[in-house]
Amino acid sequence: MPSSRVLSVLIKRGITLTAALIIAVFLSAILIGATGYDEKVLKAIVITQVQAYKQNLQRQNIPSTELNKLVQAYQQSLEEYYGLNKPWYYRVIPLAVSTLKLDLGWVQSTQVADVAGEQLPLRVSEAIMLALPRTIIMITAAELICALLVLRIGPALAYRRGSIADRAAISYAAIMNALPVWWIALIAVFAFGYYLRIAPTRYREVIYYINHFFEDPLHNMLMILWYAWLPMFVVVISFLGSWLYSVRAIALRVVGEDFVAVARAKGLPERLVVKKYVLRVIAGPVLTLVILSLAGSIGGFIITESIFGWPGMGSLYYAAIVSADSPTILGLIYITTAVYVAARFVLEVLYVLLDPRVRY
Amino acid sequence: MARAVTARRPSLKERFRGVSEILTEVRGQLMGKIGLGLIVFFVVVSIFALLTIPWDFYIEWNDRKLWEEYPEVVPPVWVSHFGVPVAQHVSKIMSEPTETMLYKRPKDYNGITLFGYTTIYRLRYRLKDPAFPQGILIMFEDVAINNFTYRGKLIRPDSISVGVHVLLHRPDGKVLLINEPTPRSLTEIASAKTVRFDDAYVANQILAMYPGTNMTKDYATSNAVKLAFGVYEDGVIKPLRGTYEVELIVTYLARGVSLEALKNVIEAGEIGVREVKMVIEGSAYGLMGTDSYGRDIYRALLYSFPVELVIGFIAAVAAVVIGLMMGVISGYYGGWVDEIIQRVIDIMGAIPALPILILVGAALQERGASPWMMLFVIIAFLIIFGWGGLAIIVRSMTLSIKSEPYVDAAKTLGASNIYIIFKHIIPQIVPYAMASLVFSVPAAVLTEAGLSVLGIRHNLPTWGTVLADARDYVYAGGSYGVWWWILPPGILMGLMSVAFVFLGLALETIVEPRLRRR
Amino acid sequence: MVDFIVRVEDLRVWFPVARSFIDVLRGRAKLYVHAVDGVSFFVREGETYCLAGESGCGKTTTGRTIIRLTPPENVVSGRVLFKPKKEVYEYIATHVPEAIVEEEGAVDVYRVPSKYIKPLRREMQMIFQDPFGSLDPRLRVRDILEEPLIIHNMGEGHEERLERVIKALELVKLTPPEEFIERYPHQLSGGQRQRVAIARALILNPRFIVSDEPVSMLDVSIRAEILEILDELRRKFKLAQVFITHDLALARYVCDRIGVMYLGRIVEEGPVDDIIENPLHPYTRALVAAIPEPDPENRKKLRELRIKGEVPSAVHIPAGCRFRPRCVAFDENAWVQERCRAEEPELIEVEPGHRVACWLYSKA
Repeated sequence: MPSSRVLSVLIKRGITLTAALIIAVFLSAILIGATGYDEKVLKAIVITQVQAYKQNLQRQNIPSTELNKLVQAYQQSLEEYYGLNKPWYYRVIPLAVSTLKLDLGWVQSTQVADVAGEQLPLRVSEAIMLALPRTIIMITAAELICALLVLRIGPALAYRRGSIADRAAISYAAIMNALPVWWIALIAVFAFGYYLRIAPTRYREVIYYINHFFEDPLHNMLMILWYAWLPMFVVVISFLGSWLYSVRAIALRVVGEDFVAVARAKGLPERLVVKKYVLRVIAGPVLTLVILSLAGSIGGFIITESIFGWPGMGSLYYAAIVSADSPTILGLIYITTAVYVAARFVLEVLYVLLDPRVRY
Repeated sequence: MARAVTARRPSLKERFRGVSEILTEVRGQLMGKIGLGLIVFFVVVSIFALLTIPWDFYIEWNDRKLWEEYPEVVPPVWVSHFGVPVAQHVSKIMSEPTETMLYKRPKDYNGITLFGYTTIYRLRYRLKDPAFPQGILIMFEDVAINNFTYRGKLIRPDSISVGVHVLLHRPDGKVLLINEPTPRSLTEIASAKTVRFDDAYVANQILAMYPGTNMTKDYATSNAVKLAFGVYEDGVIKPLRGTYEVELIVTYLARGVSLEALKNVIEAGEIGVREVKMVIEGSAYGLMGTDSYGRDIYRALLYSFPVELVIGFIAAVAAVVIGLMMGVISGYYGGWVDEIIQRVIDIMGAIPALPILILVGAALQERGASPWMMLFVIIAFLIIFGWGGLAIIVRSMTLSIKSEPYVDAAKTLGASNIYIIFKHIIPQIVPYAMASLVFSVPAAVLTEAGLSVLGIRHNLPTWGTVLADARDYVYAGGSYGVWWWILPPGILMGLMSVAFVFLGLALETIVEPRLRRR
Repeated sequence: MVDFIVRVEDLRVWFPVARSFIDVLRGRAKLYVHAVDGVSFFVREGETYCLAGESGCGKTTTGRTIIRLTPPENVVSGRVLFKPKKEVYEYIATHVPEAIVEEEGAVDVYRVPSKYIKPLRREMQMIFQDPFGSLDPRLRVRDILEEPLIIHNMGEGHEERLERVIKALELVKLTPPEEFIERYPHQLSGGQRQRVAIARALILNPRFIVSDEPVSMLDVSIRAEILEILDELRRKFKLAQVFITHDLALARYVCDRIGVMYLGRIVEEGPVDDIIENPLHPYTRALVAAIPEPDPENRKKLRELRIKGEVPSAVHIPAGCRFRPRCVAFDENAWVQERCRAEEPELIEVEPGHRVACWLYSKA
């Protein structure tokens, strides 16, 4: 039974993390509103819509005085619809509040709908539900592969500290640490997509195969693989480096412990030592690493997805931000932060429950 | 009693004993050696850049007009060493005409009619490799447009009519007129400034060169430059090697003014073209090629060196200093100060920094913020979101140092908290903070570059913006084949990052065991 | 009234046990570790007073509190009086008159805010137990010894300070000084380090020092040397000293008077020879019985350890006499049991200068 001390630590954490969530949403809302960003973009939207309306009326040969009146009325109704007739805080604060109540509202910009592969009107929640699986296919799956690889390799490296394999792995980790994923993505598209032509250079079409997956699962599966292999490959090789480094470091601490030395001295084969003694101890910290990166990856990698043109959460984020689509921005910030925060909290609880030494 | 000990302040060398010791150890490691070497390289190049490129180069970079005379999207000249045929880029400023003539009556010259005071500028051009130049450009760099008096009459420059012809003499003896000659006034010439290669006009002459072939006007127009420097055979255009000559002919006429008088004022430089620049845009340019506006990528890359180092260092130093101070304060004073700092770090850690940074960048861009403002905000953001991690580590280190007896000893000696923090605690943490600093430098540079790639531009020419321009070019339908545009900024960025990460790792292995030993 | 340098009066130092806020919500009482729980004693000029007892009895906390290392908020009651030099006394009298106890001619150390404590610090110093931890590993010997001078603005310039540093090194017999002055702590042996620590404490010319087990972490072979230096300097400068130790044999060698502490209180106090030859309190008796016997004749005698159980937690102090749960005499003397359970015994003078807190010796 966790003591009241543990409980209160958890409650404190819960409050802090919830505060982070609320602050993130409000901070974004204020940044959108107070900088006049959404106003500028919304005004541009109104102007194009009014222009279109005007042209439409002109084609119907409506006398100019009447036409102007109609246009003006239309413009007013649009401004009211977008909330442009009121100061910014009347626009964004209620939006932030309703977002926090999980009422995410409607997508405003066609750019966002475009990433989702749909037409307006579109709910923000729908757009997220469309983009999320694509990000999961690309990034989340790749991170899982990373985690599995690293659990195999990391302890073995720690075991053979200083060997050529170990040093090679460290150098690899150092280089991968230095190069961001998007950089590798750029070079990879250049090399594999353009020069070798064994991968696509444009990835948007993957939407079709994901949306129509069940019509011809086998073929669509292959097509998705054709589109996804390079992004996944890039994420795996890029993340493997830093993961190897940290898992090796965690494992090193364990390998240096006396109980491992005893197990080795008893003559247990390495495999068994790793499995029985090392893996068990490092499982906790590694799990933390895995869960946090998985939760973090839900938001997509904005820059990397944009390099590939991969229509996932990152691209959705980016489209929403550049088109100042406040409901989508707030919705995305809210959902991704909530997932991350929830993961952190779950970890905290697991940590307390699983580790007999943590008793605050 | 004689004393060997003399009173002296510790020398500079002694004061930095720790630093130099660490440097020696760093040099003992392969990674450290590579990292240090690369950093020295970056610093040296940065100094070179600061000395050779004006600090406000970004204004020049963003002024498209200034780059007109350069070939667009061409590789660097050194590709010729790898067997790639290259048409040389030639640009020549001429302040004296090659030849002057006085035609008092119309005279036929290579199919055009000359009449008046005539100045001729000639530029020879050798096409050695089978490659096509990108075009011909004539720029009137300096045109005098003063009034002058002739027999008591005031003659204004707009009453002087100027005929401009540009001829291209090909090695095979054929002559092309690259631009439709329409007589204009001197003032018009002075404001227009350039004579461009007119594709459609040249196409007509080309069509006449190949009677009986199935060449269409459209084809000739879209391949006019190639056809001007090449031979059309069986549906393909082959470069025509040999010596070309570009001839710029400027004729002056003024109603009611004798040609001799006109000649005199022009030769005196009171009026007329004083200086022209004749450019044959090559198929390769400079050390690093050009981008889609003809801009010299080499200069942008060079300019980036100090800019990136400054961005990285400011962001990293500020974040590390804040993290260090916050961590020390949090750990040393404890209580509610500690609680607040720790909760702030918790909250900041859970807020998605990148989307919010992009949002701020986009909003600023929309408002038309200046490059420096954009950069300032980006750096400020990197600092605000960058100090938390270090603060947590510094806090725990402070807690352990704080409980050391020598801190108590200092207290009994009457040392104040500030004294203890600066004299006994911070010096212990500095080596660790240094390693962390080294790691944060590339992080800042890469985030800045990432934002550029996304389209959040601060418009300073940096590796990030160059790379971002290349990406935009490719996404707008350009070929991925522009390796000189994509790879160098990417590789430089990667190298810089690798340099600092290597140095950081080397530092860490040195710093860590020391910390553990205590 | 004795002419003291330092007098501790009914000192109580309690450290709160951290409570979670759920405990706070539930209204659970705040708990304290009663590290020092009503200690009174004094030290005269040139005298060495020992605080002896098992680890955890509060002797180190007492020492640290006298030197004002304990945060004031943990000093729950009582006061620490100190008689500084005239200038310092006057300095404090002008800046914080409320900290002056005029009838004693002393300063109440805990009523001086930290802002004005600095001159007082010069007068009272401490030598720490751990010679490996009490010197900053990054500083050279000269830096370590110069530090107090810099803090107190003593010595005109670097040269004069260096002169003083060299003198201090000579005092603690680290000769020739030039050989040691440039060294780092890790280049010194434990004994040498402790000498540096002593030099650092004495360089400010204090009147009073607290020595917290200064030799317990040193090799036995060099202990005597360090103790000798300490004793010599103490005599030379007429230092008053509180010497903290768990070793009664050592206490006998070093001290004039001794206070035996148990669970935050002094249970017996008196001239050191009196206490060791004629211990009265059951706890002191047990401690004395545990002193290793130097006489091989007596070594074979099976000595009975007249104590039971473990030291109870300082959070929940037993009611009545705090030693009762471990007291063998309590079991043997039924006639005092009631009082032992009900009331905490005070120190009573049984012989001149020899006082004991035990109901067995109560006259009433």
